[in-house]
Amino acid sequence: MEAALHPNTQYEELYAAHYARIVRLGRMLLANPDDAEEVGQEVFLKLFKACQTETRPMLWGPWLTRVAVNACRDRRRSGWWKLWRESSVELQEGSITSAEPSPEAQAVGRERRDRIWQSFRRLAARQQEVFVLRHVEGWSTEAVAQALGLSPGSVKRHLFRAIRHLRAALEVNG
Amino acid sequence: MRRCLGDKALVLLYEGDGRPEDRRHLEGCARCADRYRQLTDDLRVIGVVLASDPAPAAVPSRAAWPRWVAAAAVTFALVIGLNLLFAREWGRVAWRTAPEPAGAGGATTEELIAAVEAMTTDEPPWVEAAGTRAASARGASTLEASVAELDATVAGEEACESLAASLGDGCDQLPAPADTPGAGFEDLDS
Repeated sequence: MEAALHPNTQYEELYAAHYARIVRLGRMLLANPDDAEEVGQEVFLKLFKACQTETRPMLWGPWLTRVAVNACRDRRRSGWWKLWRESSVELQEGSITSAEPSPEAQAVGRERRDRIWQSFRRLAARQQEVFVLRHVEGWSTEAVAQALGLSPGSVKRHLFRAIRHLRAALEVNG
Repeated sequence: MRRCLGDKALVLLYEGDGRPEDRRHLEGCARCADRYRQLTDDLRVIGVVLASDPAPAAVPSRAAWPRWVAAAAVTFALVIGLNLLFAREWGRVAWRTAPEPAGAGGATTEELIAAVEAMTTDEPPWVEAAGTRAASARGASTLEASVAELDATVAGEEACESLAASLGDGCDQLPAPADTPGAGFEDLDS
């Protein structure tokens, strides 16, 4: 009986620790909050099944991130028309949603935050993934390369292009 | 002194890569050190903004509609273009080349229907030129006509040659043509 409970307990702990992070990752990569929620549910459904079957010790945090990034990519591919439609929308002033950003982000200033998000949304999907994993999740270049199935050199190229675009957004009017 | 580092070299150094000489330069160059600090600050700010909840929701804007219009226009043009192309290929635009029905201005309904049916049942040229018995017969008769025409031309040339031989070199004895300058003015002199 205890053996049967153990995966569920593990699942609940992982859910409490990572669900918000995975949904936030989905919102970064997909732009649509509903899609991000669906990706979160999809990822944790996979986690639940994996917890039932996987007996080896696992680093579940990176596993969840990798599965989430892949799920976001699948969603973008399957809904190319929807993505094309969404790519034609612009962030407008005052588009920050109701919840308050963190104090650090508040210190940046609303206009600057919007510029950063606009610039981020215009990045290629691969550049977004690489930048998020490297600079938001804090992974090493090698770990990013392994997770995305790229060479480290390719990761660096994507990273450099992403940084150049994002910094250009910051440099507009200071 | 070595030239200052480019953006790519700075990013590589930030990522923990880069050449040892670039790192040495960075330690000794105040300008590059400032730029490196700026890069570090920018990446920290970007990371904080992206990591902080919430990500802004996308709001549709009026800038979105031209894409739809462009897509519709391209699709429309493509459909029209393909239609015309295939219509021309298969001879369905016979109205362009078909002779105008006699008295079309006052044609009766039956005549118009007959003309339309004739246009829509026209075969493309390559179908007509296929190796049917009728086409072979038409080709043979055309060949015969060409041979006869060639014979006639050769016979005409022979007649001209015999005429030239009978005249010999006495071409100057021939009367001047009526349009020769001076001809017909002899009476005026006398």
